[in-house]
Amino acid sequence: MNKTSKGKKLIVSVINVIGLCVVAAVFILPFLWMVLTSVKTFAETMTYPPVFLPGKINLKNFANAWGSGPFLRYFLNSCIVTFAVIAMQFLITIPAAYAYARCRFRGKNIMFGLTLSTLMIPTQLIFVPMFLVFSKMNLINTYWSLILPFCASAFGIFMIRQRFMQIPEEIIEAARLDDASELKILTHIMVPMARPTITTMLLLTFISRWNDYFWPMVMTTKDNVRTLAVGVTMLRETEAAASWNTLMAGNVILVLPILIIFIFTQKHIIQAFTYNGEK
Amino acid sequence: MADIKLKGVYKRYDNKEVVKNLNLEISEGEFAVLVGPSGCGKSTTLRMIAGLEHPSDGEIYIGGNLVNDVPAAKRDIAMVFQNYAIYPTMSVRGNIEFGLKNRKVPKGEREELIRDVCEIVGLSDYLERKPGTLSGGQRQRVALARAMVKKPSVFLMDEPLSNLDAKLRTQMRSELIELHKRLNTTFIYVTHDQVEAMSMGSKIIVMNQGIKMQDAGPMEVYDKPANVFSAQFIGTPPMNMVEADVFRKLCQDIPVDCHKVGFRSEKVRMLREEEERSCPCVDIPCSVITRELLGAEAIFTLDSRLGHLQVKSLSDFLPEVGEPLVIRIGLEHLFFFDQTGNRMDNVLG
Amino acid sequence: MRKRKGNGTYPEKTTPGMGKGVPYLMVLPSVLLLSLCYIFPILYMLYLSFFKWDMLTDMEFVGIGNYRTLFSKTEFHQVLSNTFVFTFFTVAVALCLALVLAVWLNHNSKIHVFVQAAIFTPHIIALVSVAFVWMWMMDPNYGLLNYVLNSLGLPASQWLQSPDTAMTSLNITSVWKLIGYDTLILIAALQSIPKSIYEAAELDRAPKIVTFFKIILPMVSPSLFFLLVMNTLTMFQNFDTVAVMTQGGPLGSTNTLVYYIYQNAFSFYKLGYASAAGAVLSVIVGIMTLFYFRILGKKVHYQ
Repeated sequence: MNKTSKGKKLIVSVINVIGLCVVAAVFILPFLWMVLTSVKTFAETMTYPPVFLPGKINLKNFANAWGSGPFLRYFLNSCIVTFAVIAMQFLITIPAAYAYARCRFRGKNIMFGLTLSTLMIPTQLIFVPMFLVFSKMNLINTYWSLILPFCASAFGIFMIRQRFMQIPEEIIEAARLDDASELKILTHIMVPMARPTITTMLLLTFISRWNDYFWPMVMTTKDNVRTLAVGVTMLRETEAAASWNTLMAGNVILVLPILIIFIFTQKHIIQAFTYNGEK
Repeated sequence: MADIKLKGVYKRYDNKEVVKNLNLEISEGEFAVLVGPSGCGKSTTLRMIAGLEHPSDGEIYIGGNLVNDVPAAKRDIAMVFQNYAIYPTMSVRGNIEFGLKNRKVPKGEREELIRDVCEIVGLSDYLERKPGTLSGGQRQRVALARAMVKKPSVFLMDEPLSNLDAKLRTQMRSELIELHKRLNTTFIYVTHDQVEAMSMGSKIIVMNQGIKMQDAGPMEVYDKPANVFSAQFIGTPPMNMVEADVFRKLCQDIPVDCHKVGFRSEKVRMLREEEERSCPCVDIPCSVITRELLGAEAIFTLDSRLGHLQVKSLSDFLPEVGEPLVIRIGLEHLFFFDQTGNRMDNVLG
Repeated sequence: MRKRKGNGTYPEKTTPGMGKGVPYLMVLPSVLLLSLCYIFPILYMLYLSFFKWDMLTDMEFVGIGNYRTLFSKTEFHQVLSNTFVFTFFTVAVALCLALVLAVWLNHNSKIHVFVQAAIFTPHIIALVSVAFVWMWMMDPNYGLLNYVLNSLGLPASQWLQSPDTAMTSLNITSVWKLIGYDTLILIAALQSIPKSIYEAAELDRAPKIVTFFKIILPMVSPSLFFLLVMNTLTMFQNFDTVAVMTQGGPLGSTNTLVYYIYQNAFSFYKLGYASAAGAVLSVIVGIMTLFYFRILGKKVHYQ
């Protein structure tokens, strides 16, 4: 009897592991397929049944994708927009969070309420009027149109404020007794203590800005400010590149930076996102 | 070094008076202990001296100067907080150095000060450690070092030992006493623990509900409590307190305007049976309800005509629960309190 | 001596250690930007929805004309129903699968952690790329999916090319993208359940299935509800997959609200009409959000 139950256990655990592998495959294979396609020749993509491994690694697709439009421009634009938003968020959200957490001033609750209410307004609701506002301000086809709406993250202000409020009053009083100015208390005591929260917020911002397609697509009509996500979809419209292998090559360029970061900071990123989910 | 003077200090929050008409003088080099139950206003008083709270009324002087409008950082004081308030992102050195840096003390001098202070509190080997890796006692030392390095003229401490375990607390207690001797600076120490107050203070300020109840040396507070509160707050177990009318049934000599009679549990002698009286005293027949044997001493709760009484005994006579006995109190050990709770002179003793 | 208010705390509306105006300076940039980029546009959109405007000629006031046209058009009815169908099926399937996966993957062994990371990967990848890969795999002639179906002895599908299967194809893509996030949130919720509760259930000899429905499910219900609302809101505003994979086709079978608004505003230059549709979307989103906070306030409670 002992033997059969042991055997049963073994079978169950084997089935379990096979199941896990199938699940993992469902989520990894498409990426693998993307990468494999990106190094195939055009002929290899146009066969049925599909060829799994390319005859030889063909990097020409990347050159084609890169050369089919101002890809370098797109790439730089993505970098510029993403990092500008991160820098601006850092400069704008931290003082705001500090003021909401620790200062007393008239109208604080109204302003904080207004800030929180914007959490309920996704960009998909306001792109038409925003386009009109920005075109009136001559900001369409400028970096500003891609940066401004994301500089003051209400979510970031809220998160950092919560963290600031958890800092014990005594620590701030001790700093005050140590002759530290309010600015020094913020920069030397509070920001270092809130560092994990701030990094989490900036990480989430990085990923969402880098990946965003919708907003830059609406706000740009010219290549000089288009970002990579928009640029990849542009590949479809250039005749020379309108084949799956080139398209996948373009997408690999878009996906790779994030994937590499994910592989190295997996735990941190997952924590950042699940933190986002917990209230 | 500086003396401290409070004149008619009040503190109100939303019309609730937390400190009422507090007058206080603490002379240079004193180890003053503010003691009282939680919510008695002792911490608020300390924070007003520190400059972390503003008095609603009254004047505070440090070293003869009115400091009501001097910001906390400029009062030449240092404070040790109950939860230590150590900066968690800075190393031990960073914590101690922070205040010096803000005061623009030159680097060489800083190094020297830190070295000296760390030697005194025994942190020399931990300078580069982060607070998260330190034990409770070590964190306490960091907080002390951070305060000492400023060479303040007044040290303020807000229940600095309450987060330590019992053994470490006793050890730190004697270290603090030693430190006070060594620095010879004014200390103001807040605690709710009367044992701490008695063992450390050269001056004890008993507070209750925002009012100063007594302000004297430790033995004076013990021997001559100013009022019922002081009498019961200092000493363990607390002083036995009996209504004067009840007590009169045993002893008619009690003054007429006396309202309550008290006696300390350790001033009572327990006898198997009535004995010859050798001095003026009162005998009360009792029976034992509970007994706690603590080794060197024992604490009994007794039932008597005066109600429940607590007695601390150092003798070998250890009656069993239920056993009848007689307790004897010398008249000189009785305390009489009037209608308002203030102590009257003992005319019998 | 400086004058002080009666109660002796610092004069009320200021902060110790800084001037009166400093807090305003600190919050001002964020308040201005958020007002300009979120609050004002919503109001402006409402205003626009009462006009007919193509950006070239003058604006013409039409009252509720845009709304009347909107609700009388079968095209808009189809868009609305597409949006609801898309949202409902994506969210329902994603949540059910995520719950199963969460219970299954809720272990800390190497392989489990690896699979967790694997299913989470799509969540951090650009939706555009996800759309492209799936579009390629769904290619009716050379795609991987039809090859898999054929090898399993199943008939091939037209996927995105046919009005009958296009919506399902979008659902599959969206579930694939969504599920990793949901699963990890649920795993986090499961791990916050104290072990002693499982042990108590085991001591009470509760069958696994009873433990699941009577203990696990109620305890993760706040997270489940959070996900339900978040997923619904995200899916309702879906744009990228439609824009990349189908452009609303074939025959309008996958046209959803945001894409419809986009088309009307930027392809047909009907800005007033698009704003009216935007206002309808705002109302739906607003109701869902309010509903969320209402329920959050009372029903779903934790311990």
